[in-house]
Amino acid sequence: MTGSPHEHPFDVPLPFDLRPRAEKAVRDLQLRQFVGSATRGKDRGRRDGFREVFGDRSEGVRTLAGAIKQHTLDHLDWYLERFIEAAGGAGVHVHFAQDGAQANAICLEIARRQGCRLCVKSKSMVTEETELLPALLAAGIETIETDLGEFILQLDHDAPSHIVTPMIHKDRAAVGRAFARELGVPYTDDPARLTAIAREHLREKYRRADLGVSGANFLVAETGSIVICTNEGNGRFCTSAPRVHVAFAGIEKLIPGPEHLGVMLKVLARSSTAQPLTCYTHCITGPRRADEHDGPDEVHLILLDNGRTEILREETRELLRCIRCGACLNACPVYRRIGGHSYGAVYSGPIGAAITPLLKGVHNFPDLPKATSLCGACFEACPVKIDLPRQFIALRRRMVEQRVTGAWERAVFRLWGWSLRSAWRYRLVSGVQRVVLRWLGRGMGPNDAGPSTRRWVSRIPGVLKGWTGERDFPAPASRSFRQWWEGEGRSER
Amino acid sequence: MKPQAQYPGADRAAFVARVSGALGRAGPTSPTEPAPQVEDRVARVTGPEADLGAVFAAQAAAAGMTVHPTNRAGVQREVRAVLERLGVRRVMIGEGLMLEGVAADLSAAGLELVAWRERGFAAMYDADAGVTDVQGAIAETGTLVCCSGPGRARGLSLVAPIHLAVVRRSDIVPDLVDLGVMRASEAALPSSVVLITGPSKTADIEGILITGVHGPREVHVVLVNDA
Amino acid sequence: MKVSLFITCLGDSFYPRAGIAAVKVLRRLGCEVDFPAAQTCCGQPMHNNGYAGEARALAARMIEVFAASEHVVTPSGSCAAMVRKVYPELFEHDARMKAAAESLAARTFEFSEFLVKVLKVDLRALGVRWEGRATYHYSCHLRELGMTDEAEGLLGRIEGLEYVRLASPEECCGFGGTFATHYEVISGAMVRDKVADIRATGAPTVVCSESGCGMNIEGACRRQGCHLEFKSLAEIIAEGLGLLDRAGGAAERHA
Ligand code: SF4
Repeated sequence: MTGSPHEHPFDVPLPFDLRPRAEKAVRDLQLRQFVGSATRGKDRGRRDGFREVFGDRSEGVRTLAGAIKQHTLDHLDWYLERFIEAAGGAGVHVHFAQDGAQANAICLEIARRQGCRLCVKSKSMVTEETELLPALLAAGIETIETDLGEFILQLDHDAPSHIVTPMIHKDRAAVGRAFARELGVPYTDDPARLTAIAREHLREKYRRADLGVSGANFLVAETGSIVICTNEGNGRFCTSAPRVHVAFAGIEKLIPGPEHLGVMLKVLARSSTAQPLTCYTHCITGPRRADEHDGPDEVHLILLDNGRTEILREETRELLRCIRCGACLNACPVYRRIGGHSYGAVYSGPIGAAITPLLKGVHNFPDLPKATSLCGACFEACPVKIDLPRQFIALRRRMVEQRVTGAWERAVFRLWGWSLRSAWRYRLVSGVQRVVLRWLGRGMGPNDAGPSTRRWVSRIPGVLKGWTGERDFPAPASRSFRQWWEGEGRSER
Repeated sequence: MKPQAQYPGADRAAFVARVSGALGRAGPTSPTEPAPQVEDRVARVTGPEADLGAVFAAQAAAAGMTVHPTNRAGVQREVRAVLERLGVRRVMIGEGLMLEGVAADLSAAGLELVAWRERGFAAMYDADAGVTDVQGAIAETGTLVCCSGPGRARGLSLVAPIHLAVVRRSDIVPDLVDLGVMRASEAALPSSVVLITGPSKTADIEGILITGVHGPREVHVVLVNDA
Repeated sequence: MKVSLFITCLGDSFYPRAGIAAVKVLRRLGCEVDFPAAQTCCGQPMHNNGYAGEARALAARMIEVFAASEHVVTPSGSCAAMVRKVYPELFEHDARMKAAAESLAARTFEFSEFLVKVLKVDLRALGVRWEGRATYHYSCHLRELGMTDEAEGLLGRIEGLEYVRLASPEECCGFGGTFATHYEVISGAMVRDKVADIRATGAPTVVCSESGCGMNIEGACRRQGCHLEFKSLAEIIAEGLGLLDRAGGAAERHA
């Protein structure tokens, strides 16, 4: 399995090279089996759920969900202002962070002023992005991840490999070992026992915690509400038990009004875990009020940009519609085989492959937009209809324009394109190709075993080396279609 | 007054200006087109004509909650019966129309009432069960809507291993899209509104479903036919 | 009905028999078929790899070459998707070309799609008879054309053909053009799973109409010592109508 203790999967040398990681993951049969069966199961659940509930309206509800997010993004400045006013009116302290370091600094300052010593944290991809956990620990604040999966990863010094099911890459034995080693309990690999151990351990933390950190699934502009969806209930503990609650949210989490929340919730849980609704959808509008019995005395919200305004520009804006449901990961044939850590960054799968290069520079992650067959399974799965294949192509275009793509490759494509722009050049190239490949494929002709009547080449150097590493390459037919047409084809009846 | 100005981080105006810049304009202007309409034709799953009690009960059961139907007169009896059957000893009880007399009844039956009002969460960790009413329910998904407020603590539905909620048939709205109407019409939104759909659960370890990871292991719904 | 065949660059060199079959079947169905000789490639490889200028130039060429065509039919789903979905986007800022692109998009069809949606043929009524067990590879690009089970439906109407469905028909075979050469380990893992899925059906024939997928899957089959027969849907129908010799007559043989 990937992620040996003490080596953080996302501390990668740049530019990131996906290949060695992907190769390691592909060879890890247990990992492939785990990730493969988990993702296939979820993908099937999603399809069935949508079909059962929405039938032929599935397209329509996804279109609506996408339109709600797109509309909000198209007017994001305006909705941000509305949200800030409404949340402020409800008593939420709203902060603004241009980057991850600022976001973490704000959180540390809140903790310092409030004298917080123990932080319970619920699952949040944004705090993974800002690397909040090490920042809190470095400041001497004991911090516990409370989502069961994240808790286990924290014990194991590992990182999430899926945006919804973070420890999809680990088996129960690994959990048992981590618990025995780090919590000093007798080894067990019974999931129910392990969960009970975690419950007891974390309860103790909730009792004492004075700071709760969460992410946010949605921010409702009209009401100033922060909406957090969890299945385990740890999100509710983290935002209710400690006296200070700090929520982190990217600016793209906004939606206009409460009527839109219903629609987004309908597609989120179904896409994510094939549930009609997440167990707990917690909608927080300000701190505990004077006549209430529990809840935090202070609620802070840190709005994070961290490169999002770059993505907000026209061409890539649709990527910010993402509600982090994970459906594209589950549907992706590449993710199923290489797992989340192969992407070298917090966001993995198709959505990660599209946004990581935008957040961190295409020159730093040149493989991500290319390591896809553009099969479109992600687009088909996405509840907000993000055209991910189109985005990969746009990134590839950017790489060509910025010359991140090598000069050799650029020359080959330009030459190829040029050769195709005239019929005679095309015929010439096809002819040469036929002669060369058929010569290479001599002796592997129709006489070898099986029904295939063509010649095959089993080793080609250069650009097709990768191809023939895994499969034979066909030689062109002895006579092209064009030749047939110009012979008997045109006039034959 | 701007207390956040003393914190590190960016200035609000500059932060929003960057967003406007990315959208290619000088500053926030109100949208020229309205936000997308949530049309029933597109998004509604359950309509008002449905048998809301039946749909709710079926969905709640599918989400892993146990439904106990009763009538108005049977609430106390049913609540007590469920708690006794589960061997509950220490119980915390919220306030609400449907819960009137429940505390006295349970106390008379020998259950210990946890005093949570003053100490909040700290008092709740040792309770065996929390009993609440709801501020709404959703048939489509079998969801309980619990709001915070006087007599309605957040922890009542979260901290104990068992949560028992009393839901009236008339509390139930058909569909998640009705949530908007319900909440927009409320004067001030409660500081905490939680939609509960089943017991606390996780599938983090090899995808195996386990309930009661942080919150309640069991959720019982006493469904009151008040039609 | 007049139909112009767009053979595609891969089809021309590597899969002429599929093109020949398409021509024969379309003629049998009463279409007048022509082949605009100036055609080359739709520009999909350039577009997919980020060479927008090259792709646009080839798109403009295609639009011109097929300007007079009533219907354009191609055996390749991905090339049809390129024309239908991408061409109009390529000319976003050129109203005249965009209109021309949209016009071509509206006239372009993948072969089986054309049979189902335009000609509305019933292969059973036509008397197509093809004996044998076959499985079918769904190429991902059909998704973009809004096609799901059209081709499977056609297979189901062929007398004598025992159709065995793959366990995971919707899963990509791992072709993806340069993806297969640049990320051969990932692509290889994908195609190995596809081969395993095909083998599990026990069918000796694989119906695969997309040349790229066919090169990939058949090449991988061979590498694994599994020799199956690969045919496009057009070839199956042509053979089933007696328009092509099932074994492949000398004139149509690849080698
Ligand atoms: S891109 Fe779409 S499918 Fe993928 S996580 Fe985001 S919302 Fe879900």
